[in-house]
Amino acid sequence: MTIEAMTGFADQARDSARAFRRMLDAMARPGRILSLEPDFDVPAPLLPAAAAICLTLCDYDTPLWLDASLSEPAILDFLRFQTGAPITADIAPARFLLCTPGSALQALAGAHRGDAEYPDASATLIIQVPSLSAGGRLILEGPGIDGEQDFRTLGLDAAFWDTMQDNHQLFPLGCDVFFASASGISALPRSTHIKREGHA
Amino acid sequence: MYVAVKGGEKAIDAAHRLLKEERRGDPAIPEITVEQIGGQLSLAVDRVMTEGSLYDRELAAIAIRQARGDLIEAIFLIRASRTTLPRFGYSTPIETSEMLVRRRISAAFKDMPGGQILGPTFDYTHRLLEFGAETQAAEAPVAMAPADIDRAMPRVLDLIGAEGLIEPASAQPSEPQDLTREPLSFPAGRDLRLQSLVRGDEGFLLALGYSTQRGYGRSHPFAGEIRYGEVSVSFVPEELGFEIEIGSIDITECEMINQFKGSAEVPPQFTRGYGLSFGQCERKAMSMALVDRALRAAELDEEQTAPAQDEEFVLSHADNVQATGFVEHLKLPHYVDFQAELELLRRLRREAQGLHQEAAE
Amino acid sequence: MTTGYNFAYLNEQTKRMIRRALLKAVAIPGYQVPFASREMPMPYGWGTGGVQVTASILTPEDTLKVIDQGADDTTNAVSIRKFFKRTAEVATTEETAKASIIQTRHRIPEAPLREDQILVFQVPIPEPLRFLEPRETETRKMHALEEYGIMHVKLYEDIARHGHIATSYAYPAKVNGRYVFDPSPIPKFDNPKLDSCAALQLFGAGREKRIYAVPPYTQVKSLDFEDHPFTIQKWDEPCALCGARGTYLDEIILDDRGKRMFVCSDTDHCRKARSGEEAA
Repeated sequence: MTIEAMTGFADQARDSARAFRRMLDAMARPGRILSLEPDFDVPAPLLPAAAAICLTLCDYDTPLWLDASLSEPAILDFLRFQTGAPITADIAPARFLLCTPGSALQALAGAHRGDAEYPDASATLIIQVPSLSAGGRLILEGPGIDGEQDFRTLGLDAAFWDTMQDNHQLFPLGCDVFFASASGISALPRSTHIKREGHA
Repeated sequence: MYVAVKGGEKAIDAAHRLLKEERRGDPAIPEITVEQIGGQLSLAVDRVMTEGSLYDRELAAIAIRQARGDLIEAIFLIRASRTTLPRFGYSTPIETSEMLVRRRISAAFKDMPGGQILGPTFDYTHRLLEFGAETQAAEAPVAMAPADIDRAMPRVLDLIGAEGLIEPASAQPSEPQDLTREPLSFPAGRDLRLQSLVRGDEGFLLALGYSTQRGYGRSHPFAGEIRYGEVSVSFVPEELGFEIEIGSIDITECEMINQFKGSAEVPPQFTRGYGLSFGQCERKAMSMALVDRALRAAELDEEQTAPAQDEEFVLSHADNVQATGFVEHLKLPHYVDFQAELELLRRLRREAQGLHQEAAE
Repeated sequence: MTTGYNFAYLNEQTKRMIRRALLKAVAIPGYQVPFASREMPMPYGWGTGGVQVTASILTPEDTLKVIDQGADDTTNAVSIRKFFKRTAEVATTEETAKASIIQTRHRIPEAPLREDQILVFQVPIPEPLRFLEPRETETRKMHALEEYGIMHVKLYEDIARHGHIATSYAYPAKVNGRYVFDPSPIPKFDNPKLDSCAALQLFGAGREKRIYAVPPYTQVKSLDFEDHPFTIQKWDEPCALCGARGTYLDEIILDDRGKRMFVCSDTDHCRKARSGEEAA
């Protein structure tokens, strides 16, 4: 790994503040796409937007799980060095789960959903997706949305969206999900009701 | 029209200038130095370090001077400064049985290995004001026995522990938690309770400890041992992987011995209450030990009736920085809410009068 | 100006911890997320929760407005605005329309807020059930079970005794049909503004170590009864300075013979109305 590849935010305090505002905005307005293009390089196949989320939120207090396709030594080194987060091989104790469409269902099904007195003890998923503008149309309703909001992603199958609907049914328990594409992010908190075309 | 509406910024600046002037006092008299505070008001420094959760004599002395001697204000200054400090990690546990003892007494035994050492104490002084005490500075230094570092000074409670008369000191199975990193949730473990009590207000703990002696959660305490002196602090840096000594601190430790009637499983034995402080905060360490023991009521299956036994009550109100902030915030403007109350009260009174009138007609 | 402190005072680890709590708060509207509140250089009870939230969301591009009792020039608002000017070097404003972040104590601005604005409330006691049940262990259970009976009983006793619900500020409301929450000590006059607001609303309680949120366009329903619907304060007279009706008024005592005047509590709104600008 080159030294260049190990740099994170150039101005950590200000750049991570800017990144966080996008993330807060995304979580507050489910389904909206917000650009997030950090100024540092990341080892492939990690996406810069997903890396920016990790660098903004993860540290030694937040065990991080990565799926097999992202568990490349270069990525692990990068995240360990930049965040100090302990990398966990198990899904259950992870506070953040970094996944791809192939592992998203497994991660969502196994992630910590919080408990009745502390629903905030739940995990957050960061799912890298090839696109946030193509794919089947989903219609979102709920807090943060004025009426309805369209949402599209590629690569996530019906079984995943079934589990996302179950996740919403558990409210106030459940996981919150960030989607990261090459240049942007979007979020679906547990509070969002997801309607699928052709489904009830 | 009035300050709260316009001119707030100027008024604040002026008030702060005035505060600086008042703090300094008569400029014809030399300013008190940080060294003087550290040397001559050392118990104030000890308290500020203990409740401020930061062992730094110089910073504590600066805080006391800046706070015009208001110790809670000084504790607040230290806590706020602490927020900005980076955290390198946790030291290994200190070993108080290896303390370089300056004072060590037990009220439970007449004598014990290592002996009773009175050390610097107000005990047995006659509280007579010493006018012109400054002249006494010229007195010859007190002759002290040469420090015998090799003298064994086992903890008194360990001596009776050997006989099984007292419960073993609880061995924490896991790393202790830290309430400065995770917000307190209830029920808290004894680790968090003790941390909260060390940071807690001396006056509050004194009153609560006192209340247990007067029957509100009585636990029949004996001062098993109070020791004050110097202990070394060690740290294991991640990159080295072995322990290195990084310095030493003065602390006071108090172990109370309390009655316990025993249960079906456990034969009668004494129980413990534990107190610890930076420096020589003896009153604080003793009060803390009484309250610690009182808070163990549930664990020891005792009836919980008194305020000192109520974990949520004690821990939620022990912190004087929190308490003083919230009490003093009543000085902030509340006129929006007061207006809302005025409006409601006027309406209720109007309606009540209307009803009276109707009844009279 | 170099301050020697990190951008927006807090160290990065503290900001990360608060930011994680903020995201949870947004995802669970009205639920109070515990966070490891730090000692700030202003006292607990003086807005340390709001200050920590603002410090964690602030970017260098933001324009900050701070109000207390609706006014920009009240002592505490001045002190907090100065703190961020000094530690984050952000632009500040007294104009609601020009602010991207508004930190407030006890009021919501009269002008409707926009999507590109965030309102940060300073909260003294975040738990709406606290004065009915002092124990955190108990109130936490009540929220978990959505068991808000004691609150309804309290409000109903008010009606039985006074003919009205005798809560005029910090009036409890239900967020998104789930959590009963304390909107901070704003007058109940401001409660309707919480409902379906375009702006994100964040609440920080420093001493009590809780953060909570109302996302944009989220239902906030003030508690009431069918036969005693929720109402807000009304004044018989308009603002003595700008002539506005339908704004929240402060009462100012003018002499010792009971002479008084009523003026807008939102000083920016009042100033704009007087200068003839569009107050929206």
